[in-house]
Amino acid sequence: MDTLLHSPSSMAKRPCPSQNPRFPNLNQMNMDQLLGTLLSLTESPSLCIDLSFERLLDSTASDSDQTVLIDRALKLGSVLLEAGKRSARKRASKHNSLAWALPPDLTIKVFSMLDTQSLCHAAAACSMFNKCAMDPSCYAFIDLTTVVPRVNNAVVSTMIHRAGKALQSLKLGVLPGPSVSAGSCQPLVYTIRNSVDVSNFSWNDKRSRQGKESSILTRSCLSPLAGDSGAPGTLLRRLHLYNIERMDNTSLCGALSACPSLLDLEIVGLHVELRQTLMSVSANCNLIERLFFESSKTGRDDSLKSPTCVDFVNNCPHLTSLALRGFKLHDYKVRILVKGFRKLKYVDFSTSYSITGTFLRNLGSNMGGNLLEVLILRDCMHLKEVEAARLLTTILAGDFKFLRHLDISNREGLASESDWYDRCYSSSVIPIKQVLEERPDICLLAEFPSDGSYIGIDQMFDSELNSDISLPSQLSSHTSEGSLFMSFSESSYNSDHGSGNEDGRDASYVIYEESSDEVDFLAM
Amino acid sequence: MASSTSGSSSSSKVVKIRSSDNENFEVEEAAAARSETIKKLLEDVGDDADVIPLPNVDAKTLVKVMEWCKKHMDDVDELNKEEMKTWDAEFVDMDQSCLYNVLLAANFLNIKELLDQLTQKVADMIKGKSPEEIRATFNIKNDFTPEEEAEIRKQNAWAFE
Repeated sequence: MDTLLHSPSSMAKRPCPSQNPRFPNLNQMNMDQLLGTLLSLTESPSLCIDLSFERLLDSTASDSDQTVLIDRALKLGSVLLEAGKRSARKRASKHNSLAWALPPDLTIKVFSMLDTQSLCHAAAACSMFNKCAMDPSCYAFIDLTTVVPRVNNAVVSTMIHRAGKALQSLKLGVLPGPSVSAGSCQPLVYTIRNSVDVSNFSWNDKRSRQGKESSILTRSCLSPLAGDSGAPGTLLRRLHLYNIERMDNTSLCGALSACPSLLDLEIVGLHVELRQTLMSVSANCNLIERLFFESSKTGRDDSLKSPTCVDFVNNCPHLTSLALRGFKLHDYKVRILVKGFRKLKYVDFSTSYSITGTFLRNLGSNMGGNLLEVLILRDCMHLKEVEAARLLTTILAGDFKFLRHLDISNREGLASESDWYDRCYSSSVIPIKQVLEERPDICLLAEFPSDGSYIGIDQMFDSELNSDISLPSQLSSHTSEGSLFMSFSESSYNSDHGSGNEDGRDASYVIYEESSDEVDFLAM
Repeated sequence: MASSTSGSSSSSKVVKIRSSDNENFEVEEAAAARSETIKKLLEDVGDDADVIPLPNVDAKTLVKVMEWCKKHMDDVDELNKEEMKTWDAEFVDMDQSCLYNVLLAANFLNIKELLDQLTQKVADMIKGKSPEEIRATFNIKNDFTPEEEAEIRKQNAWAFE
């Protein structure tokens, strides 16, 4: 500051907008000297100015002149204040440009590696960061998933518009935190998912069930993807949507039609129909490689039709990973899918209804499905013991050469041949131990309530309600099974336990609303 | 390592490079060629190359960069991947001014993998921090007007809840 004050000649170079342009030099010189003198009053300047101002007022006779003086003092004060603040900001900006050594292009590169929330925080740190954080490439991977709903359509729209055509990945909705640790799902970590996804929740999380909080996103939250030429959806590769309750078929289909480059679609807990969604994917997203779709209403969506499956298979030949969870799926439709997708490596039909396992017959050889690396049929209500046994027998015979992970666990046991009410599981029927010996490369998960026992449905229901009590006995029965089950950490039971309870709630809720076979039975 | 040195004689060839503060270094060509910039210079001058001057990189930084290049001279096989990861993590763990210098050098020398590692390191230093914490970490000052700051926070209100 001092150097500035004592070198009026250098100050004079700066133009001062409030000056009369006709006498710039004279006025600037005068002004600079005046201001310099004023600011050099370092010793108790406020008192000094106070007294001086009082004297000045006293020497002014007329009342109106005094008013003018006071007005001018106030104005001058605020002008000085603003000038001080502005200079301070300028100096701060200059300081920042030295302290932060990276040029804008590298700053933008750094920012493009940030999650969306951190990016917003960086943008609020200083004006240089703010400028860099507006670059479209920083928004190529937008992740607006939150644990509790806080994001609305306007936020989505802002982010998508900032990204423009740079947009590659969009994740939206309410995604409860990873409360359930990986546990039994750890072997499931699959390369496709690894490579495209950095999220740290596990596959077997019952995400849709835990995430029932209503989101403030509405059905039109994806409309910014569409638009005129060069719409942001054009190059979008990944779209993940979680528990956006107000999303509907029309809006989702509209969004998908704007995303011809989509490779990875994940839908959890949306009130959209399986058939319409698949039709829309077939029609618009022909490059798709991964589809993960978990129903919002367990077992009640039976909309899938065979022609839809055929279209899907024909139009989307690149699919390698398919998860349809919690739908009502008939074996012959599933068979069209698994057989038809020639590159399919990952299949997950967990918690699906109706599926008995007959679709697996003759799949593992040259008939399609022979590239399967992961097959998950966890908690499929109607999966038959006899089909599970048949599957393992074909594996023993050398089919499913590439299979690395198989999950046929069912917390309610498997269905017997004639009647799915009869729950059963017998290690003498299903050659689990032989498969483990013959194919040590396969991670085989086969958790059942207890070996060889039959559990009536009402009993099962009871045990679910009292799962706290039944937990220890389950554990011990598993340990008595031998080393096979030792790898399932306690957390996997916790997860089952949690979802079991919620299922109980779900079921009782469903009873009043809808009558499907299964549910009616549970109600009795 | 062993396989590559025995495989071709060119990989043990040494090139000379000079830092901005006029220090000369002798580096294996295979290491130096991790830098696309140096590689291109070498191709342009052919075998007559005496010393390659690098006017934008000082000696201290160049030592760091070449340390990385040496380590990453050969393709890493699966077995060494974990070890390499640990080494990389330790490598990027340096004080801030050094980090900036090496990052700028990696940019100038066009060593993509190193540049990615370093920008990732800076991004990791930002992640999960509030604007105030970001300022404190990087010695950045708030240069917004109160109105600007309010507006920015309002635009991204969801991120501040």
